[in-house]
Amino acid sequence: MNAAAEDLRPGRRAPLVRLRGISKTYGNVAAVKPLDLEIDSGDFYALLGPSGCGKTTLLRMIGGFTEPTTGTVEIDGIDVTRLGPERRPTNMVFQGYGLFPHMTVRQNIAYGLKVHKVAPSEIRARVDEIIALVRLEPLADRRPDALSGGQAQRVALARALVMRPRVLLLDEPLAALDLQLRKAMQEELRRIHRSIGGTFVFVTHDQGEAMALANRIAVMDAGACVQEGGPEDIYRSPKSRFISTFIGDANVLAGRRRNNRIELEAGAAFDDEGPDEAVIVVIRPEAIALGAAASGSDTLQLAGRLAESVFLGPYVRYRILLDNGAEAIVHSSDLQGRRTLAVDEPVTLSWARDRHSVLPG
Amino acid sequence: MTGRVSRIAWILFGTGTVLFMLLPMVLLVLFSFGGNELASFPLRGLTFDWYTALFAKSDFRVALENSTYLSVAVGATSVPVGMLAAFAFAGLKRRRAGPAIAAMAAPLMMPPLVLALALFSAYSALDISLGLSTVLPGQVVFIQPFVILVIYARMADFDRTLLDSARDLGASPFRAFVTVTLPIISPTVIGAALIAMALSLDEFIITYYTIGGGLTLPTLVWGLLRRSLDPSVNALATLILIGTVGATILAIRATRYRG
Repeated sequence: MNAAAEDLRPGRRAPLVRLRGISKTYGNVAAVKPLDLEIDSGDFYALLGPSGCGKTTLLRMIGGFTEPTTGTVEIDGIDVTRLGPERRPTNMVFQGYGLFPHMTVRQNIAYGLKVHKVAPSEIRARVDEIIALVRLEPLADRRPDALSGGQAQRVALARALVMRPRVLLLDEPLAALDLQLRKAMQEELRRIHRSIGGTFVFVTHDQGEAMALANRIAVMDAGACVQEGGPEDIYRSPKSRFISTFIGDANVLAGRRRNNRIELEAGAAFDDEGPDEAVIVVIRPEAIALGAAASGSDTLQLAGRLAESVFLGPYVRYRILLDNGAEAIVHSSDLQGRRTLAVDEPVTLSWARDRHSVLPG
Repeated sequence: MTGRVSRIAWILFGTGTVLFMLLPMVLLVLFSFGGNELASFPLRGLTFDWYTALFAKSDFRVALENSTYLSVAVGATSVPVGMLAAFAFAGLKRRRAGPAIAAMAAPLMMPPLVLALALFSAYSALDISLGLSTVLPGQVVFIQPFVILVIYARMADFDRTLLDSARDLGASPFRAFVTVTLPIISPTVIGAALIAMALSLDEFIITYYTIGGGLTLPTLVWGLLRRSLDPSVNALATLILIGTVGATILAIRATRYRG
């Protein structure tokens, strides 16, 4: 899948990171199949996918930790494919953080600067600046074993950022943190990204995290990039069943197109141009309303019975049993409506045509 | 009721066994300070005479010098080699590591006497004259696997992400080793060096067969015992005991310390 050809963003300068024909094979296993990817300066870019999809391998190839089997890596116009991580303008925050246990927080952060023979006065200034940015002042002289998970993560982040890399790489940065801490760290990362205006590329299997942090997402599955774009585009127009169910909840209704008309197994029908084939229609749970809609050719309706309703706080989650036996999930923030619906009561589902996606089934 | 009786019986048995094993050493140390000519009870006063007599022997000073030289040399040789080998083993995949380590540890499984005789035959066949320079390789062959295993155990637990981080921050592999790996494993390396030195100090069989006319502290003990029941042997043995036990205690404390 060629992400570059798809990109029609106006006023776009040359990309900061360009992967061309990049792939990685171990024996007969293709961890990453040949793909092209472009990342712009200033992006907060997510590589999203389930375990084993190749996203970490791809990240490591950008960082220089894994040598690609084929293809090239270009950063800032320079071919860095043959260069090791120490010679690339990138820095990585590793999944286990990799903090040096025999050094204090300050010494950890200063390590890279010392290796690059930066003057001691400048080292001190830059380390102080970054410690202030990630809000670690009270912990500067502690050792890693005296830090909590969230604190260790910030140290790892600071240690990479102090090097002022062109691209900051993060390998599942928030995976080890509990829910509350994760949300707080997401906010921190967004703040830091806005504040320094850098380019971040991170790997995650958590679609909520990808959506919360990234301005562009590359969804990966089995070594290939299956869709690339902004979170809203991917959410509204998923290109496959896998993507629609991996990102957010989705209703996947089976149907068939014949003579430019689609008939859903569950009952509704509408005009849709295209070849005669099996199709699936994907609708997000919040796009469906309960109750008959105002009539118009732009809305579709299905009949069913209420199987279950669960109050989740900001919305109610309804499970509807459709006439053909399939299930539909509806999210409704109309909290009043719940009280008037009983289990097994017949309901009508309706949604606007422009809220669904038709995909080959 | 029988539960308590059997517990007491087990405690007595355990204590008895330990005492039985330690008793010879305790007696040894005791008689080294005893005023008797013969090692027997009752003790006739405590004295340092046997130690003074020992230090007066020229053989002792030569043996002490040789033993010191050998244990330092064995330590200095086996530790760098041990580190390199341990890193190599730690980098192998699990399946390949097993047989490789077993092969490396083969000298440990051989009876030292067989090893000693093999070395002796080899030296004779190659017409190499025996002395300290022929003892050293022999001791290293036997002691090296200990050092490798001790360091390997530490390296197997070593977090490789630390080295990735160091490289990511610009360090060359050598610099990463010196600034990251070495400081973290130094307690283990020091411990391994002390173990190597203690083993060398104590080593008799290989040394005896490959030293020719020379002397180390253990072979001096053997020599003194053959000639007479000289009580300064007790003093000598006590000194060797202090040396090896002391080094071993330091080594254990060093290697248990997790930085």
